[in-house]
Amino acid sequence: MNRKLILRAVAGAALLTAASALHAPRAEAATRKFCYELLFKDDRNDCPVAGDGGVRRACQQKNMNFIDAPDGTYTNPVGQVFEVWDKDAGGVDEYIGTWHIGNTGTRCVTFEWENAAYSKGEANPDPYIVWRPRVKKGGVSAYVQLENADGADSGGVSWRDFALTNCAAGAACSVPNYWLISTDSSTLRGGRPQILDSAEHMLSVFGSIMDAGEIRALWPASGSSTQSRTHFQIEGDAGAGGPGDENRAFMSQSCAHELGHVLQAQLFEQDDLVNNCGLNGGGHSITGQEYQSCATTEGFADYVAAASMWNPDVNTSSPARFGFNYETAAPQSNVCASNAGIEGQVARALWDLDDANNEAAAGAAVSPAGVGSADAYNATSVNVAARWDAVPDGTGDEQDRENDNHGVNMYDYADGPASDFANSATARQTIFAHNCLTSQDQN
Amino acid sequence: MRCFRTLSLMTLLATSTGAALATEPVAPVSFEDAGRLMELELRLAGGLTAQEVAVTQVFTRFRGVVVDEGARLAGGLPVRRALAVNDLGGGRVRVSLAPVPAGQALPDGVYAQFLEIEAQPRALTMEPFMVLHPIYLEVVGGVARRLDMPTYSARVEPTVRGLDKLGRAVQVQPGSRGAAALAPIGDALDVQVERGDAFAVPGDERNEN
Repeated sequence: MNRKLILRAVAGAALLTAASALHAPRAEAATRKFCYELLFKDDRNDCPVAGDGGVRRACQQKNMNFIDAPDGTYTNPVGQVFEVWDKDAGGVDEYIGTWHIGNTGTRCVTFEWENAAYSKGEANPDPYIVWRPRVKKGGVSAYVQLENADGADSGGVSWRDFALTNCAAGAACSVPNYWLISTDSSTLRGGRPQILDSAEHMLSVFGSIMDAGEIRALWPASGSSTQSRTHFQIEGDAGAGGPGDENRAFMSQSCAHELGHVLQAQLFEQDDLVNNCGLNGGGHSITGQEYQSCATTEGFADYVAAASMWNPDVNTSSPARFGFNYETAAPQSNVCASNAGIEGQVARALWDLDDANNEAAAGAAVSPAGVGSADAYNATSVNVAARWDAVPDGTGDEQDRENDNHGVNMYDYADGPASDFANSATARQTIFAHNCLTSQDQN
Repeated sequence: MRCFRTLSLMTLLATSTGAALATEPVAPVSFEDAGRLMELELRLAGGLTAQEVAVTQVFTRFRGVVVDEGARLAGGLPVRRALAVNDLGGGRVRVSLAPVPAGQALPDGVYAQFLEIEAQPRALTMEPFMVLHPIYLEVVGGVARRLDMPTYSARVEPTVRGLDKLGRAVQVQPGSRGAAALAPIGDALDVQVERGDAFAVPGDERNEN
């Protein structure tokens, strides 16, 4: 090898070494592990608690006996979103990252430090959490963001005053106690995590068939209702001196019900649902008589709320709202034909289509000998809901905007094209004969 | 002046034929909460009668301090108190909320109470259920007045200025902490690594999950 080639080889090796050094992690680089447990005060009373049959994830999860905070029932904010920040007492805090809480109990996050821009040369972070009123389910692209009346995101909760100090590499850096999002469930702030937890239940069951992206929820508002496929509101005292004095943050099924409307609107690819709830004036109730379009739309949302809180695959599930139990076999009215316009009866039909408990017919649903009317079909919750996706656009029979008082109803649900249930005798028996919906309008 | 939620604007809008707001079922117990200081009227529906309803008043905040669940007394007054239900007929009942005898005043401060309305329907088609209604009071110089939820919230949980991850000013509230006298068994050891990754660039939410 001549001298020129040797020099080139030496120079090349030096360059390679220098390049490797640039790309290799610095010797001191390491992640930090930060562990915490968040809780919120939970006084919701229309969802199952630990030990109830068919409970999915319990409301009022823990009875906490605190030394230095109010005792009572608290719940981990599963799915809710928080940010981790680095506190700089003499300057501007650095934002590290955003996560959502994966499950109950003590949880941990890990994040890069030395190699991250946010470290700004500090040896160790002083981490703290800012909770944001947003909820997201792992593996689901839809998420719910709470907003104020002015349309701005609702405020968060910060534990900056309790930031840990010098979180070093090599060992978990743990919050030594519980960090409490709320200790009073009846405030604006106290309502937020309760509503979001109710939303998480719904997203856990039905989120896989929902549109990706943000669903905004106004709280508090005058009446719980759904405005579009991406917007709903929850009733609470907004302080305007008008109606809306009922706090539905305490009702887990209120949020899940409205998300049921959002889900149906998304599956219809519409921003409203064509129905009429005016048979008996304003409003509708679970047991009242309504046009069948109202009973069907509202009954579907009632079912979504129930299936979000109780697992239909568990025989001991006993879902109920306002004293109306969706597992009860006997139809609400003892005159079979009079059940066609009762939204609770539609909810029962959809629950029966879903649930594992196949009970015999009772009350007005008992058919003449030889005619089956038992609950006989077991679908999945996603299949029950996704049926709306196959209903075509249009204003005619078996179309999503059928514009008469009795359509869209359960015949449009069950009989339309691409229905899993149209040709199943047991599905039709479960929906119609078992729940006395046979007299709904077949148009 | 407040009115029945069944007459709310949202509900009236929902009665129109065609495209409509999808709303919520009304409860069999609703409140005519016109902000009267120490009384509340309930309207019963779905066949409920006054004899099927029990109302309990529960102090949840007393003189500005949250009351422990399970506490028996706060400031010498019972935390939980069954209220007499006065049947007005026509599905209306009235309860008196006064926690102290006439002529006496609560000590100055902010108060919250839950009314727990437990319904025990006799109808075979219905089961017992409960509805919760919070009521807020402020006493200044011995004179009490009702607060709405936003005013009450601002009194007891003030907001401060914070930053979002883009450095914009946003409202936040200081979190509190609690040390458990007895940690729930099982949870203390339930340490799991969180899903998701941090993202290093403020404002880049692509990795948020």
